[in-house]
Order: sequence, then structure tokens, then C-alpha cells
Amino acid sequence: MAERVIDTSDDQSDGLDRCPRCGSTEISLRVGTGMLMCHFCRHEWAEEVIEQKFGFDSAISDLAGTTIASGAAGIQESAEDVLTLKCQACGAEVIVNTAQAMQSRCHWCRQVLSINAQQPNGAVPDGLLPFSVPREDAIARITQFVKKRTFFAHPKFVKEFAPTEVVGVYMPYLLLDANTSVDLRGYGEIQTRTYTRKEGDRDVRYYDADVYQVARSFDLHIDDVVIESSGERADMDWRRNTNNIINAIQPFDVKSAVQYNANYLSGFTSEKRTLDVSGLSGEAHSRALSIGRARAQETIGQYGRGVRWEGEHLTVKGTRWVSVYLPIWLYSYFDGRLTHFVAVNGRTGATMGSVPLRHGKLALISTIIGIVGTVVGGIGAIALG
Amino acid sequence: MLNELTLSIAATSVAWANGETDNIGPLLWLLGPAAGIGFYVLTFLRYRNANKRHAYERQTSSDVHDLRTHDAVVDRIRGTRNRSIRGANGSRPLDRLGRGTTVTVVPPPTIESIIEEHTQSGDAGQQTDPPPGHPGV
Repeated sequence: MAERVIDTSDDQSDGLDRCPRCGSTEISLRVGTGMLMCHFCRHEWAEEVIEQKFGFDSAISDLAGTTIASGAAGIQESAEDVLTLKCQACGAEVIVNTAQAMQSRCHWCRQVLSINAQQPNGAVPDGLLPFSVPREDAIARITQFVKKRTFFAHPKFVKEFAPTEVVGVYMPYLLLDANTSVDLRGYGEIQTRTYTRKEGDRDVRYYDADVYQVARSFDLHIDDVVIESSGERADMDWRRNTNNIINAIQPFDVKSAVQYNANYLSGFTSEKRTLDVSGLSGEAHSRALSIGRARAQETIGQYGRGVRWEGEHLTVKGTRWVSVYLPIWLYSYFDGRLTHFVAVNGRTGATMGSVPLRHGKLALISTIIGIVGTVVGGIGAIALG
Repeated sequence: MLNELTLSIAATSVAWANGETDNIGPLLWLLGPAAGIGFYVLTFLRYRNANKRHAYERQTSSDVHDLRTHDAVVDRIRGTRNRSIRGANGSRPLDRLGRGTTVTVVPPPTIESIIEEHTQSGDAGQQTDPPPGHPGV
């Protein structure tokens, strides 16, 4: 299907990205203010909010077809991660591996070279949310989270716990706006009477109910569903990984996302987007249906015995996709089988984590509780006859 | 003794599932196993947080327009022992419905369809400026 592309590259180019006041390339994010700051002249500024700059705040009801911001465009497998830039200051050839960093320092003249031009390798998004929770705050939150969970934690984890190793990571996501309509059909039941009947020496409860045919149809305009666009992070099976921890610290204030500038990444790491809009359409449809079903739930409160939906239909009239980096403080620990994350939302400070367990100790204490409970319960049962 | 305990627990479980809760004596045999398993599961979840996720279906901003509803009595149930409708999923929005789930993606309007809609709306014949980039007539 034809796609409409909104160009968010703004003609940004790779290489020297200078302070607008003094021309220095020594620029980084000042966490706390969310502003970029020149280390040479202390000038502070911020990139523009992408919603307003590129019209991503236009009415969702007007969306038709698929609209993609250029930073969310298709990833070409042939696209190289390793780029060679010519330093505009001294002419040296400088290599930047976009799989690891979006900036590199020229080894001859010490200028910082930035990757700002959008690549077909998923490394440069349309926008990002700068970190606003300081590193010290994140360390304190992670420490507090883990300290509350040490009794059954694996002793090796407790011994090796080093929260100062926390890393600030920009994770890739796609923001989806969707102009849809939802049609649901099914059955609902309302209880009309309840009573008990004597069956032998027992009282058995019975219910009478009216059965309704139920249908709900509505237009649904969805604003900024946040979808993981790293294939690795999108897999959230708790038996294989702890990626659900990173998901659980949402939501982010994505309306405040600013235009991408590699200087925001200075001192942080980033993970590349590996999933395309085309590969995420199934996930997008499922999420839209889930939101539709949640909204429909608000209209079926009268069915006290519940509703059984038997059919759900989603009509997608238009979608808009924007790629962003979102800020996460991440502490990780590999226990030999799983990598456990403790994550802090880099905007709100919301914290969630997975602490490896000492299963033997937990099983032993659970068994003791079971035995004590059985003895106490047994005495009670015998006493009651 | 173990067999008697097992039979007692099984019978109690069946009775409880059927809503026969007037005699709680046998239920007390379940106290120990339930407490042990419950403690294990709750502690596991407190440490691993394997059940935590972002509830996007409720926290994502969305607007509902043009709501149309249909509610009609089609049957009456007498004397069921089930406390709720069979297969209730009205409060489980993440569950998809297998073959009951369908999706249609509407293609974007083509230039021909826009012109046709424009014509049918009665604006035909009115002189308008050509859009930017249009070669004009």
C-alpha cells in the first residue's frame, strides 16, 4: 500500500554539530533541565518539540492510509552500521559504529563528529525524550528497590550488586496514532434471581439469568500507542527474558519528544530500531483491538454475570507512525541463565526490576508454611467435626 | 492417612467449586497447601515481577465517537449453578478471539475517488485554483 512520508530529517547532516553561539562541538544534555549545553560557553538550548514542528498533533480523525515519519522508514538489510565521516575541521577520516555510538571524536583534532542524518539502518529516529532523572537519583531508586528484596535474593546477586554500574540507554519505540472503528458482538447475562436448594444434606446455590445479544460499534481514535521497535526487547516471555521490566516502567510523556540530535546521546548509549512499520502492523492491530475492548468494557457494566464477545472487527482507516528514543536507566545482572533488569524511567523515575531468587530457600520456607497450615487447618477441621 | 487427606481435599474442592460453602470444616484441610503455594507464588512475583507490564489498553489516550449499541434479550436461563456467563471475556481486553477477530485496512483515498466525491457533493463546475504543482488547464 502506498505510504505518505513526512520528512523529519530537516536536512541535518553528519559531522560537526556546533554550538549555535560559539561553534564548539563539546555539547551534551544537561539532565534536569532537558536542555543541550555547550561545555565551552555554557549556552543552553533545546531542539523543537516534534509534535508541533512536523504536525504530528493534527486531528487523528483526518488520518487516511499509512503516514510514516521519515525516521520510521523501512530498514534496509544492506545498510551499513559502520559509517566513515570526513572531519570538516581537519579532513581526517573518522569511523563511527552506529551499532554502538552516534558520536565519535576525531583522533587528530579532538572535535566531536555526530550522526544526525537519517540512515536506512534504523539508528536515527525522528525524535527523542531527553533524560530528566539524574543518574544519582536512578542509583538511589535501584538501590532502594533491591534492598527491599534481599532475603530470598540469590546471595551471589546480593554480593555482586553494584548500582553505580547503571547505564543510561535510549531505547527505540514507534509511536502510533490510529484512526479506526471497532465492531464487537457477543452475549451478556444479567442475573434475575438466586436461590438455594437442599440436595441431600447440602445447600446448593442456583441462578436465573436473562441472556442478551450485545453489540457495540464505535469510532476509536488512538493517540500515541508506544510499541517496542527493537526485535529483542519486543519479546516479553518471562521464561526467556526480563524485558517485561522495561515495558512496565511506562508511560512516558511522549508528547514532549524533541527532534533528534546526537548530542542528546552524549554520555548515554542507545539501542537501534530493528523492526519496521510493516513488521509491526499485526501488533498494532492487536493493540488497537485491545484498547477498543477496554473502552467497550465501560459500556457493559449492566451485565453482572459478564459478557462473552464472540466477534471483534477492526477497521483501520488511517495510521501515523513516528520513531523515538525513550530514556531508561538500566541495571542488568546475568545469573548464568537470565539477564535480570532493574529499570528506572528516565522521565518519571518509575522503577521496576527482576531480582534473581534463591529458589531452594523459598521452597523450604513455603513448605514449612504449608505443613504448619495443614496442621492448624486439620485441627480446626477435626474440631468442627 | 494421606489418601484420606487427599480424598478430603478433592471432595472439598469440588464442593467449593459448586458453591456449596455452608460446611467449611473440610475446607480447613486446604489451608496448609494453599498457604504454602500462595507464599511461594507471591514471593516469586515480588522478586521477579514476571507479571508486570504497562497496561497500554487502559493508559493509552483514546477517544470514542459515534457509539452505537444493541442489547436485546434472546434467552432466559433457569437454574444454572454457574456464577457467571460461560467463556466470559468482557473484562479481558487482551484476549483475541481466534477466527472471531477480523481486521480490514481501508486503502487511502485515490485522486479519482476524491474527484468523484467532490463531484457528487455538488461542487462540480465551480472554478477553483489548481493545487501547487498542478500543471493547470
